[in-house]
Amino acid sequence: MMKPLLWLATVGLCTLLSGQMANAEGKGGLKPVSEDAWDYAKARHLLARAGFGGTPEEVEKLHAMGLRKAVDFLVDYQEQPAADIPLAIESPQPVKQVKLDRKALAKLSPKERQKLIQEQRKQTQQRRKNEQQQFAELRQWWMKRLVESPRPLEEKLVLFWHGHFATGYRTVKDTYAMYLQNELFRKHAAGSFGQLLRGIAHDPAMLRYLDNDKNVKARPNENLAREILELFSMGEGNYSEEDIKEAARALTGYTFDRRSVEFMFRRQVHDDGEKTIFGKTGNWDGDKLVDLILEEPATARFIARKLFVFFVHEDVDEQTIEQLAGVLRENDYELAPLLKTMFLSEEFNGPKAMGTQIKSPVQLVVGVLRSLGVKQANYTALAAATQSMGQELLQPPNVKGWDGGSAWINTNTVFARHNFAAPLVIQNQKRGKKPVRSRGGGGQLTQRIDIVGLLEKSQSGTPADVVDYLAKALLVTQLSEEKREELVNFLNDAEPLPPSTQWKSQRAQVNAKLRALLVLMMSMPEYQLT
Amino acid sequence: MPPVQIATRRDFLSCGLGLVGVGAAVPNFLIRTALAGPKSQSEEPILVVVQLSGGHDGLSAVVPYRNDDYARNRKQTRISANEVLKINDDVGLHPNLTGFKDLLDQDAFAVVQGVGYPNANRSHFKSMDIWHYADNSGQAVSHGWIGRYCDHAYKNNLDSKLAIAVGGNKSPKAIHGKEHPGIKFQRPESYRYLAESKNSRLGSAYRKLNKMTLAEKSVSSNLDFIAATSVNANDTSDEILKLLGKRDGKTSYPKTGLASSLQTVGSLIAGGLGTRVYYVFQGGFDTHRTQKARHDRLMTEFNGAITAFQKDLAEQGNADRVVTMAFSEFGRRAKENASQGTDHGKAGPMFLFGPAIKAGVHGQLPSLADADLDKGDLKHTVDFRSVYATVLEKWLGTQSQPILGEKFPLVDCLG
Repeated sequence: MMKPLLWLATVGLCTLLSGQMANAEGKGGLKPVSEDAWDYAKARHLLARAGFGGTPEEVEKLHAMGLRKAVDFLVDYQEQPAADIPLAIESPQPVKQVKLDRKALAKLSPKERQKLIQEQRKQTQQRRKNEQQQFAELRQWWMKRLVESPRPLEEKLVLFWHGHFATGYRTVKDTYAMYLQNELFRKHAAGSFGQLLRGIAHDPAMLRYLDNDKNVKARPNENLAREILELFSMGEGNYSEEDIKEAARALTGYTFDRRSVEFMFRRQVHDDGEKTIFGKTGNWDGDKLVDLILEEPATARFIARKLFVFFVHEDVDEQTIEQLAGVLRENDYELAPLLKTMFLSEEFNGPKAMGTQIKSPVQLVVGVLRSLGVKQANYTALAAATQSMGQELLQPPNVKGWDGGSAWINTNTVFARHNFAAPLVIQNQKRGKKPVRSRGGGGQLTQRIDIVGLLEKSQSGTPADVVDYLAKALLVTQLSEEKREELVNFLNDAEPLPPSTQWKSQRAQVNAKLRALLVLMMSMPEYQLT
Repeated sequence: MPPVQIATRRDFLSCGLGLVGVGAAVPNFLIRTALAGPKSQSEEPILVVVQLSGGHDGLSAVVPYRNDDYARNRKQTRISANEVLKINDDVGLHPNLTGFKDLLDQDAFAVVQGVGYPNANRSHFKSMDIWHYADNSGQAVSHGWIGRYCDHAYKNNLDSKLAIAVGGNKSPKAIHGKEHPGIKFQRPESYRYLAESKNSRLGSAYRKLNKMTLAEKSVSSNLDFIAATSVNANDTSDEILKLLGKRDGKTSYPKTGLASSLQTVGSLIAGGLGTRVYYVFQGGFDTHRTQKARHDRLMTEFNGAITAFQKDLAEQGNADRVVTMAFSEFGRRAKENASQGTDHGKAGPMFLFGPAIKAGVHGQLPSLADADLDKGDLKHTVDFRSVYATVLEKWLGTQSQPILGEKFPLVDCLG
């Protein structure tokens, strides 16, 4: 532990010595919280934000590591094994199509011609169907990674970058390109933002999504240039409309090969004239544009702010942003030092951050699986569930991604969130009948949750014990006495819960009763926060 | 004599017949109501806002078919003189807007040309915020213009159903007021707590726990917000679903997103819900490439949905009560790009529907001559807040200045 005065002195000294050295330790930018203050609640908070939460047992494990080790454990995730989850998609989708040559067609009899046309139509339909299946496969693959990966922060960051460099499948229409982009995010997730931005300027899915495959010297298409500056690196107000026009010229000819889905630079349509971007004149191309962007001080600030808002809280002050942007610049845009200083900071571990964030739909859905230790869910259904709550993976609403925060909540999405678990109860009532069709997918999920099994480990016996255990696993805020009582009454009402010695023999009935409690707790306002 | 401003219908009615003499500032409908004595709230005028998301190329919808600059700038996306549905000697409608043309012939369709705002922002998101907040910076105010209307005109009526958004991904910022959060739902069938119908004990505990949060000492503002929204959702879902379940509308709507949203709105209006403003969406207008075919489809969807909606309203006898207004966050650049598309621009047209409007073309099409363009974009001739002010004053019957912060000149398209 460091006393505040000593801490200030250390920071001063570190600044004199080398930013690199200080930041490698995860200090530098922000004042770290004291190691003494590290407790179960902070460990749970860290696992929830730098991942998607975990069981009370997993939180205990993290708590036992101590603050710094726990942060290192999550951020230096390369030391953990990567998720071993196979993905069965063709790479890339073979483009096979019978070309209908007009001359050849003319020679055929009407019957033969009809047959050929029909055949082609069938092929097109089949290809479309295959593509749809591949996309569903990709989405459930990522959902499974989110739930099962031993590197939760890696997947959390992939989710962050997906929202940052938002790209929608419906425009790209190529599963393999979406997969490549997802892996690009994973490769640089906590690595270098500079390399990530460079990768994006070469990324087939992005080049297609923002029309840069149509950006040619004769008449530049500004779509990618504008969003790179406005949404991906600097933020609105830090560049001029003229910079956008010039950046678009720099990006001309940056396209991809449709067959191999690889980046391609078409020199003949690239504008190699002089351009002036941010007041600097030269024969810039897309790669040089990325360098120019990284030199602008607005860039580090913009990325630091976005990371802070995503991981900590929304009400951030300029000084904090300035400190974090400094860490980013000193480390040549390496992200890990920034992440460490952020997770260690008093801001992250303070009341403004803890338990105040509105869960994104993905956090909500992945979180319940991780916090109850459930594996092998129906991942396709879970992806559909986040969609009904307003977060469709690989299909963000637009290039700005998801607004997050209070924008997740409206009268429509609260029902979607509450109904996520609801099918469980409906299915229980209709035992033996065909399950009620549900968009939510929570039924398939919660059916698999053996709450009796979970409680055995925790030695909960009375209804109050059960409520307390589930509250500890699911809720970040302390329940008021009145609410706790309401939940206990819910378990005791009508048919009281049998004594715990009988749970094993009455497993199905007890689970059904406990699942109703779970559904109820997941529909509480507290459950929407993390 | 300056027009008399009315804060709410109740204020107006309390003034009694004395006001009838200044009819110019008051919708005819309100005068009829006043003369007939107080009626139920469900007979007040209704505004339906259609958001065309992505930046609509207005030049391809209200085509200046005789304009040489238009022909010169648009080679690939151009709609020729013999294709358009002529409105007058200058402009004609996109050929797929046949229903709009019919409505025009029935005096129920109007265009306001050249709508925009000073220092136009070409970012979708900033510009959309500016339209939602009716604020030039998009930042200075924290509540939407429709929400502010509800706050202003319904100080003593906190019914959240005064503004309802149907369909779309997000709840529009425009409807969020300080005291009136508004309602948003995507599909009526999922606008309820599903577990409740099968397990009533669970249902009542669920409602109770959500309400308890509001009664308890505040832990965090987000928690209060979530609880308030949940309670709001539960309180309104019963009523809305009941109305929608009852409806057996005769009009058939096309199977498109906008049409299905408007069909729901039609049913809620038929059911007599006290909502004053409905909000619906059509997306896909960001036509950077191969615009022609895409825009043709967009026009078909827009035309089909609006036409069915107007027919529905006429059949239920509510057409006179409803004005529909369509906008997009910006128009597109005068000159098309190399991808047979168009990039983000500035001014564009707004559309108004309903028998209550003054049919025809209002405002002025900005000049398309190179020298008159603003960095390649159309300069606005009408501030969008003038259209908002007109709708607020001449249709919703309230003062516009307290809501919009300034006094904007009205457009002669209503009343």
